Amino acid sequence: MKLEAVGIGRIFFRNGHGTNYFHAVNATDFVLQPGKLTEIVGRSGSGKTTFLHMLSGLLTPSEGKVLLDGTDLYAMDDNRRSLLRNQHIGIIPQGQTGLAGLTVLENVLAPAAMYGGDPASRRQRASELLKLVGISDLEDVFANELSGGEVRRMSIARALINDPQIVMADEPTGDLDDENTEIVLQLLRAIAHEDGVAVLLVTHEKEAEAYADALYRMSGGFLTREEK
Amino acid sequence: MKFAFDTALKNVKRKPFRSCIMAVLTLLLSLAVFAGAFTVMSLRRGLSDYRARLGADIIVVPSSAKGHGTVNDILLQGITGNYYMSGKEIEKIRSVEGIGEITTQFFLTSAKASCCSTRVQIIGFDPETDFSILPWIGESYQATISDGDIIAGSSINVPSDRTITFYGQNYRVAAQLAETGTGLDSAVYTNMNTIRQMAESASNLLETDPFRDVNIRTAASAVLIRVAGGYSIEDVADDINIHITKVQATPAKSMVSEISEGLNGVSRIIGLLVGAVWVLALIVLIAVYALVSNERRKEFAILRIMGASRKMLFRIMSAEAALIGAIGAILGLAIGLLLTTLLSGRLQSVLNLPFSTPGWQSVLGLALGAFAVSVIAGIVTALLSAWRITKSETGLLLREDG
Repeated sequence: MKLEAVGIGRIFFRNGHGTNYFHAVNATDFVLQPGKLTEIVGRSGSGKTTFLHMLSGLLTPSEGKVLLDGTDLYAMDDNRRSLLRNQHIGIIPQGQTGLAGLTVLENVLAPAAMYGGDPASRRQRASELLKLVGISDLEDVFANELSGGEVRRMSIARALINDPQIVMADEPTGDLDDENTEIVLQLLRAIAHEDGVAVLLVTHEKEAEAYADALYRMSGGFLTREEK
Repeated sequence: MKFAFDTALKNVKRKPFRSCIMAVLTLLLSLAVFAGAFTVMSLRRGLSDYRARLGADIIVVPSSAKGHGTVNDILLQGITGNYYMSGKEIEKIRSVEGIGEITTQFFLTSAKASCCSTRVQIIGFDPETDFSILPWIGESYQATISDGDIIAGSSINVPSDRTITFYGQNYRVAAQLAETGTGLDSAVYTNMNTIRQMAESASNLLETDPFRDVNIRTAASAVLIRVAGGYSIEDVADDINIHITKVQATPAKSMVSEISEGLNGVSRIIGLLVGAVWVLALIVLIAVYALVSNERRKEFAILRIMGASRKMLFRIMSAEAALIGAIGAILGLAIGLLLTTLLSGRLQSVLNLPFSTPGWQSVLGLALGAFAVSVIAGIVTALLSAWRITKSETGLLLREDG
């Protein structure tokens, strides 16, 4: 599955409207390659998350198009775009993103249960993923009782439950210690290399650069390719 | 759909405080609708029953009835009154032009009887000519009322030997009537022979004879008239008032319309009260949804990230509101039923209007209506909140929440 951005950019109004606005992301072309861990690095506020949200169908670009296998993501209606995101794009968002009222297992199963499917097979897949991310012993714990690292690993398992062809991770190591950071980064690289998934990693941490197959830098809303 | 329902159920169970507040507000909505509508419906039914039971176009009572319990008071509240017109006056009334049917009633207040904690109004009527009491009594008792027999209203405490003593004489309770919700429930009914016998006993027993100047055999307390076809009720009543002294003829519809005006006033007040409760409860419900919207923004954003469509979020919110609303509405209806059952008698005496509890089919219909309205109000409020949150793109929600 090919994800391509054609001249996408986004402006934000400082007071929500009027003429006082700024370019969070300037018109940019970008292609996300399958089987590779692509990384966008940059300081906080440089426009990385805005770019990721536009690529994942969560934020309409002010200009340009996002094409998924040639189809404009934002020309679709909400139902179709949501289904597509559910089936093909796994997102690991920034911050504490567990559904507090659900257990770890219920959180991981949620995307798989949204549009039906076989409960037994998705239960088995959830167990495999929780084992893979190393928190299988926490499946009955409520999401709001987890540590930062555990939440992140739960989010990874949740993003992978529908076996997506694209995975996007927003600062997945932001609040993790070195050991957990390494676990998460190795996991993302393994997904790309072993399963052929197109992985996009957005981070401000320099240590992560060592894991990337392709590296981009976002600065002041401008995206530039860097040689590895 | 299953996902939406399962998620809603988990949300309801795992956010007990939030769910309880919402349920209490829905409880208030359903209670207000049910209790308000029940009261108005009972009043309207009471008026309709009253109109039907009155059965007459004109009621004639002695002028001396003024200041005592009138027919209205007796029918509505069981307020007792002893007033009588002579047989001569009744004959004059009979001869007025335009009278179709005519019947008399004799009112007697018992001295403290063994049966009753308070004095009881005894109403005597003529089964041969009656068109006011028999049709209604006939719903519970079809046999002839023999001399010495009485029919007890539903509030009368009937002894196990089915005998009640009035003025030293025993009378057999032939039947006890179903509840009407009016003063008629605390009255006793009998035929003219029996009540005249009671009056004679009273005349002999009481120190101050209330029948000193009355011929018990021919007197009556009220004359009820149905006007013949082609005659105006007002004209016949005026004729009686002009030509016969010592009596007061009143068109029944003016009595009914007086009650109807009172009922409309009470209905308006109840409507306003119900409206006020609704507005308040809805404002609080909307405010509670707004208060928890920050929490929900994040929850919605995470669900959107997972691939939930706006439609799915609306389904989750609707299912959640429906679940909470159903619990609240059922509790509200249970409390409403309990309150209206316990307080309907008190309400009747406070409002001083005929009050007739609707049948179970009407109560069921009312309960279903109140349930639906309350649950729908909860769902609409929840959907408004969901719409406010989801009108922002997920990327913006995540950005605003940092």
